[in-house]
Amino acid sequence: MNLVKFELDKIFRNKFLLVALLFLLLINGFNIWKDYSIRAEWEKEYYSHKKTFYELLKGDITAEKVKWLTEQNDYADKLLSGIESDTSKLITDNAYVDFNISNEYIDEIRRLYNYNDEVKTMKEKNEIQFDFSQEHTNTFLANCAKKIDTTYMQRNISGIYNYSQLEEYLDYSFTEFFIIIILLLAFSPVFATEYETGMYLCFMSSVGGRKKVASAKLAVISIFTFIVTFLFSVFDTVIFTLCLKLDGFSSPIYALSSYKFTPLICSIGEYIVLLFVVRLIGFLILSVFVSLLSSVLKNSYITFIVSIITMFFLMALEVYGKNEVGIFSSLNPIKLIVGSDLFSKFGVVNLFNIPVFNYVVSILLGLICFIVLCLFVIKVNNKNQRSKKI
Amino acid sequence: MIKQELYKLCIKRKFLLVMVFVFSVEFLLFFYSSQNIKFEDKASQIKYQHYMDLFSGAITPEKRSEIEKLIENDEQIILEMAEKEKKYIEREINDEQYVELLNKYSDYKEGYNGYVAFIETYNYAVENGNELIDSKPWDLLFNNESIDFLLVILITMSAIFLYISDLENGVELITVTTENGKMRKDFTQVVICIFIAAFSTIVVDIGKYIIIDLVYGLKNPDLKLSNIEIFSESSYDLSLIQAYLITCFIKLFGSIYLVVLTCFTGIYLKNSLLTGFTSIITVLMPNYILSEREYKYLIPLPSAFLTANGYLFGDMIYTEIMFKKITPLKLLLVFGISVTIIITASIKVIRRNKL
Repeated sequence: MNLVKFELDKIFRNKFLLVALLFLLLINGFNIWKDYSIRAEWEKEYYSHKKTFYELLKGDITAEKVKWLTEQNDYADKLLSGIESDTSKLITDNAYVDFNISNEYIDEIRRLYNYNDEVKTMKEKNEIQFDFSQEHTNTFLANCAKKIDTTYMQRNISGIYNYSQLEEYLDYSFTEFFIIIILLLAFSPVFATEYETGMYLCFMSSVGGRKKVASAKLAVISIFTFIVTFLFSVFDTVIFTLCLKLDGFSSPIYALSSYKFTPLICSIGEYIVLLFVVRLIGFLILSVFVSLLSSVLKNSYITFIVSIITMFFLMALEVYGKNEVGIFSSLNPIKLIVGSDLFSKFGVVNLFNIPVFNYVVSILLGLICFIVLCLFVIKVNNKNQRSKKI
Repeated sequence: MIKQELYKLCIKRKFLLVMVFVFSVEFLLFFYSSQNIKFEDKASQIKYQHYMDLFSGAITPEKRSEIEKLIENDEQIILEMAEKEKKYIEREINDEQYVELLNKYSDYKEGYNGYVAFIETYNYAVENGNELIDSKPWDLLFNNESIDFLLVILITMSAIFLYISDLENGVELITVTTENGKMRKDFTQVVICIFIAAFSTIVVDIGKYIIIDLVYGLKNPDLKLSNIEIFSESSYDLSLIQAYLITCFIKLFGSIYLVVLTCFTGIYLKNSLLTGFTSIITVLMPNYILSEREYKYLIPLPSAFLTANGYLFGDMIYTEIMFKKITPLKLLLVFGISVTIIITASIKVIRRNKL
């Protein structure tokens, strides 16, 4: 425990790292604010009008709300076509804006209503597939059909919220880039410094100098990775909430259009927590990989360069090989770090004729990868020190 | 002394090996990406090339009428097919007739992507009053607004391997007591770093030009810059080759700026990792944070010059954001500030050990 404390202290005494962390946090905040808050004057005005409508509509979709919205839309339409001249009932003092915004919300309500129909159609098709699979004794397909049925059972969206803004928040992936940079800076020297400064000679002769130091370092790597990921995630959420006034966290995740066929049955708030955990696993794999490189290359700068090139390579692999399915694709930590792709669609892996969700396989593989890498780090450091001793 | 320092860097610290490796990866990646501009199917490539050979150059009334005829013919065939499909759905024609029809049109559809791409190029040329050219190889050569990340790494590595590592591992304490170990050594090291940065940039730029010329053929180098889509609003009266040379020169300046700035940062940080991190962040951040805006070209940092292309852009709407042209006056101002920084930083680096 003392070793962990000491190693943690070493990281927190690194002023450059802390300054870089603070700098990147601020840059990230600025980036979000710039992209989602600085808008042209007409846009600002439009959004403020939209907010007035939103305040009247948010929450459960009721027959009264739908009736009011359609009436408002008809009224604005009549004003625009010159049939009506009394403007007293307008919400925004501008018939054109009223018409456009009410149309947007009508479309949104239609989308939410249609979701239930879409799921119904999908389930009907699925039943046909189930019968077909049973007839042709294809156990896997039959099991898949069963899984689809249980996954999409009893789904409906009852509330209207600013889903598009929640999607913007969930789609924002620049934070991951900042976290990767900080982790590379923090962990490139983690083992290499001991070799650069000759400290490994001391470890060799001390009681806790072999596996214990490596294990303590790995514990610190995990703790620091958690802290950095947590800090950036909280900072992201706060800035986004301030910029976009997010709400509707209790709505089901499938209310978001890009997640309409997600296999998950949880609220948006719960999904954010799940995404954090999955990303954390991805970052842990990455951190341990960097520390493994640090042990092997024994030079902080070279480790940093090799790691950064590897990261870009993995990112390119994730972008260009998005449609590739297979064990190597699942092992890419960037897949877990980006996260959302794992949950947005229904995807299964055939495991002895039992369909297992892609995200479950990826998370399990990620955890196994993390443990294997940890063992490698301990083994490499033990071996390095033993060979020096000889 | 130059010889000894070069020997130390290239052989002892294995930078030559790193350089060869980076160049190989760089050219391999570029070669791979140059394959992407070709069509997936050979028939489309042949068709596209065939039309380009027939019609490239100034769009004369004869060429225009021939191309319009092609478009008309295509529209007619598409309409005809849609009608037949409708008839098939309504069961007015039977399966055999439909299969026969499909076979007939499949011949026409062979290499259809090539035809579509050609018509798109033609429409763009007509809209902008340009000549009809195959701009894809030039687009790839200019590579929009991306920074050559491998080149950035190579440049910072040269400064770190030669200059910063001496500061980091305490070699300087010995060299500073020798006759040539003060200003002369620092001067030589900085000159070598600048030379390597310039050499690497030139090699990469020339290499890319040769690769794309061999793979695809860079035709019409004398055509106006506005023939390329990213420069469509450019007000500069430059040919494509002139524009490429100018961007290469700006990149060269950016590389020299980056290497001097890395050496300068190294004096204070005295750590390879931290210096490397700072340099890479200085290059990457402005590009990511101020993407799609002209501001990134107005910040007097290496990232602006390493991107280079934006200095030749005109006023344009770039994914809903207004990109305002960098006027020659603004360019001169940024260039002037950067030159001042380079000179000050170089003097600081060289005169550091002046006794």
